[in-house]
Amino acid sequence: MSQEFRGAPMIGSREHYQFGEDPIGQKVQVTILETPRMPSDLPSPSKIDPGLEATKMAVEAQLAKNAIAPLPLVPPASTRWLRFSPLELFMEHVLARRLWTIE
Amino acid sequence: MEQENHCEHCGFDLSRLEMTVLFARKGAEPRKLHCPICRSDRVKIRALERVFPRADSGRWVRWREGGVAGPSNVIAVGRLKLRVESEIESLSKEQICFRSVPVFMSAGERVLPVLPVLPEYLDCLDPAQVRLAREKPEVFGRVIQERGKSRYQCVLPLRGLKQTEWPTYECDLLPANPFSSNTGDVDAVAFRGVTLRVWPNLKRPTHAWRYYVVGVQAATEEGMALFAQGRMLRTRMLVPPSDADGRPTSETKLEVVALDQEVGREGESGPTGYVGATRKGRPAWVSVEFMQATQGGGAEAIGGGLFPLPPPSDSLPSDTWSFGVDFGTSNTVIAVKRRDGSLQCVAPERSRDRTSTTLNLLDGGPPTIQRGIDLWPGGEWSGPCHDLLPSELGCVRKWTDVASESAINALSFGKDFGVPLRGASSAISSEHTVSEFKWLRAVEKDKSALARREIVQALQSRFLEGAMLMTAASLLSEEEAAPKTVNVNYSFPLAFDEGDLETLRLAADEAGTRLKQLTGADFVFPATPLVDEAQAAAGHASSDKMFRVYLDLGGGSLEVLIDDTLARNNHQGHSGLHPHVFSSSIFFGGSVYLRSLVGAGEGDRRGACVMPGVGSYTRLASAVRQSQSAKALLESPHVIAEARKSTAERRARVFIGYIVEYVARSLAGVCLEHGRTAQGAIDLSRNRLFSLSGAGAQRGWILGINKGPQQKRVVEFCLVLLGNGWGFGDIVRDGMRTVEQMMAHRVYERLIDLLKETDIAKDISDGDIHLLDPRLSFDISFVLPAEGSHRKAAVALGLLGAHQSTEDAARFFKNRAPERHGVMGLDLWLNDQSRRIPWYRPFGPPAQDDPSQFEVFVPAASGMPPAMPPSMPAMPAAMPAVGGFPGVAMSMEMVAFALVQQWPMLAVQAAQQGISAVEFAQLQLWQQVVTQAAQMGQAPERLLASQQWQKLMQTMAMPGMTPEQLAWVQNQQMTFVTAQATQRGQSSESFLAGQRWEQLAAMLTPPPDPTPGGFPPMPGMPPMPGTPPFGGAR
Repeated sequence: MSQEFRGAPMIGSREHYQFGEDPIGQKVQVTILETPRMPSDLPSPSKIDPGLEATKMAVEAQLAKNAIAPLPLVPPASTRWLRFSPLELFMEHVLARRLWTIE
Repeated sequence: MEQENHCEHCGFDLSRLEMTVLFARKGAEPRKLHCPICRSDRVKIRALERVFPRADSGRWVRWREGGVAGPSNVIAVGRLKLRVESEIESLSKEQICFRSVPVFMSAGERVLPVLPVLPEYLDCLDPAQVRLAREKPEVFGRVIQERGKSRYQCVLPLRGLKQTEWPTYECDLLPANPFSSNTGDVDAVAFRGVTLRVWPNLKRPTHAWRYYVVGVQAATEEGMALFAQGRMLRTRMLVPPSDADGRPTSETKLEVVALDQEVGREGESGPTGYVGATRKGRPAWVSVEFMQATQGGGAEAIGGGLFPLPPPSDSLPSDTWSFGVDFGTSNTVIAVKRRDGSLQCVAPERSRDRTSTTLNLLDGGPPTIQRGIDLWPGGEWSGPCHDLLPSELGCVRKWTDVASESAINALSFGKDFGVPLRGASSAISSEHTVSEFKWLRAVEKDKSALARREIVQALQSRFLEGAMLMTAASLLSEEEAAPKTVNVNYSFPLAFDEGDLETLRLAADEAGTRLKQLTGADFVFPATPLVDEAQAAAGHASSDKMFRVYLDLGGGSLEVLIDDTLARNNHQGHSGLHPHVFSSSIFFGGSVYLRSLVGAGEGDRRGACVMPGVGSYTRLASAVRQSQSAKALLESPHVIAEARKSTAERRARVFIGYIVEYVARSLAGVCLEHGRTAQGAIDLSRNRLFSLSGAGAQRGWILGINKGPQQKRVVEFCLVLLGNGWGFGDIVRDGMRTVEQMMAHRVYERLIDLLKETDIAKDISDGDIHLLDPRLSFDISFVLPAEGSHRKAAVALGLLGAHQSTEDAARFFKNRAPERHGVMGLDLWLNDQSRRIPWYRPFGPPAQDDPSQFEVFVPAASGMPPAMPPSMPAMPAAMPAVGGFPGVAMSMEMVAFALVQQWPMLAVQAAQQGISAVEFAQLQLWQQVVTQAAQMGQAPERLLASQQWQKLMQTMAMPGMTPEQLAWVQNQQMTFVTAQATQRGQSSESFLAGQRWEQLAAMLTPPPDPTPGGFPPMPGMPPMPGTPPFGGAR
């Protein structure tokens, strides 16, 4: 597998790490695309969090401390270097705080 | 005549010696007397036994004889005068005893003090007799009838007197009602409804256990006579001093520890009792005293007596104990491993089948007065199996008033703070209880003044200390042999960050240190928690389904572990793969739902569903604990406002609905994405949905597994629901028999929907059956908790389970994922390279596989003649039509991998042919390319180009794209490829095939040296410190 990387700047030092896919650069804009659909009986994330603004803030905050996983733990061709899940962040930081708004 | 004052060596009678000797200076020990004749120190002077210095003051006393004692500082021994440099006080039996003695009715029987002596004068009694009074209390105090009047009588074994000289002390009974005139009937004057208790109630008290809590309390309104007008209650425990091993060094020179903490005070009402604690050893006596104010502003004792505790003994030799602690956000479960290897959850006093952990010196009956916060550590725990210890701490002060590490550490368990097993009365402010201190971020929500890491650590430490004390007390109430070592396994949620984990580790360490002092046993907490909660649960049970999905919904977090049973059992091509496919954890537990019912926040009732009287999270959590089910909770008019029931149910639907969504997406991620090669193709040997089936030439990878007599193709997920949070699932069961059934049903429906909505589902194929093929079925089953157990028990039991002792388990533990790894869940768009990362992609570093265990499987090759690989394959004639490439690329990576696995053998053959191993491997790989291309009726170059184009398309095309968008992306990509090929003077096909071959050939490198430390660094990279021999390379 190639060890050469080009493209976006990386978080931290790349010397000791390998990636199957380029990691996210700093100050990258991240957009959460709410697809596929949620079940009809469940309010969608965008209904609970209009514009997904709070979710986006949680993602960006998490992204800022997304330390790179050590080499032996990062398999090729994956997004595993991303050490968080936007859905988990939504549930933890948004839904957990706004469940009381459901009527 | 008995020689009373003589030298035992020469027989000289010292009373004949006419002289005065300074026997003791003021406050100093008396001199050692020697015989003036033979200088022997074996001098016996009977009079000295009747004169002795007091333990606390050092003042000399002697018993008043003949009713009058002269004010003297001289001890007369015949002509010999022994002088002390202070006055020798004369004492009478009346001076050292209470003027009256109370009688108590305890569990229908009359109980009275064993000794009527004031605690300060216990050293004036004969130590051997005091010991006997503890061992055989029935031979001391009693009630007599004298001229129609009930009186208390006791023989006083005064120190220094012969048994025949011991006086009998008689006094009145202290009436419970001070205004009662009836003193003739002992039962009429007796106190009722009073409880005097000691915790713990050890079956065999030992010197090593040093922590005791003693309380006196009015259990009923009758018991409030303790605080009758005109007198004050004072209760003290008398604790013997002890040596380094905890053995008492005196029976009569005791330290007085006051029961000085009021209990039951609420608002304007007075206390209902007092409690005290000691960490200096087992109390010998408890003194119950009634005081009366004096005119000088002081107080004098008007009645009282001493109640004994049986003395401790030496410890019996014992085994090591093992505890498994599931320290939950809302509740904690502790499992213990018995000597016979059986595991069970600790349930103190369960249904009163078991010995009480409280020793009642006086039993006032079931309490009917419940005021204030009850911190007594004895009693049943919560839950249907009585094995849930609330993860809460109550305090007699507001927690915000003790918001420092030192203040919290200064509190005494069971006295100043404790686990409110029976909750707190509604009049007690929630500021006296703290919960969810497992998480700093939860404390921030609830009590921001405590939201500092060192305070949270102190709270955790004190809770663990209390939980361990209560557990040990429960076990030792029925077992005689106390352990010297207790191994405590505990776990942590993967949602913990490094700070959380460090806090818990330090808290456990501190608790271990204190527990050693309090119990004498070494409580050994591992330096770091061994395993996360989901993995701990997985260790307890075996499975026959393809995947087990552990869903631990606790009060604070949801732990998810998808466990590959084939990998766990080294079956069907999954050997060497780590069983943990995904393991994640979110800070999203049952408390999320409960807090939503409380409203926008503490003190902010916007959106609240609860009644105003249940307006805090702590109170609601307490109500939940006492409720039969969540559904019953919603039906309770005292908890949920009638008009808000439907809203509360709606929130439960959203709460559970999102958990279903999260689980379904995680399972879909396993199906859609897990196991891809470096080039993005699906690697059947790494994709958990595929298994090796058949034998010999028929052996190959199939999608799912064959199950049953019909050998139906199936993908199985078996849900295991753990944790108390699932109780809220009851609200939305909608006619399903169990929450497990409801979850399996909903997750199944959602999983199928998700797969159908995802374009690449049809690409997940073994060449015959794809993911959406009707011949493949998805089986979502579930496991119910074992009979007599519950969903919360599995983690604690799993911590003690066998999995940690097996070789495989040790390997799985060693290679486990260090943090969350799961599925993205939502699509992300990153603007750095205009990348779209679909929701089903995995995130987080996974558990490490063990390549040495991989099953080597090379698909059987046909008899095609080999051809030399070209340095650059000949170019295909034309580009294939977009999207028209069959998905056969996966086997080439498998072949390359298999070749690398067989490198030593391959190197030998290469040497025989006089070429390098790499060249030989490339020949073998090229042979496979030629063979596959021939089977598909294509040229090898075209096959390679097709595969490369397919790979490019896989990375570019995303689910949800319209056909127009897809066509645009493909055109863009084709333009890019053509431009690059043109720059190199190649055709597009030639360029793509060349790229593909380079990638495959690059895989053919010698494997790393399997010897320890022999892992070579990657080209151009420095070696990694601590890198395991095989690293994480797959």
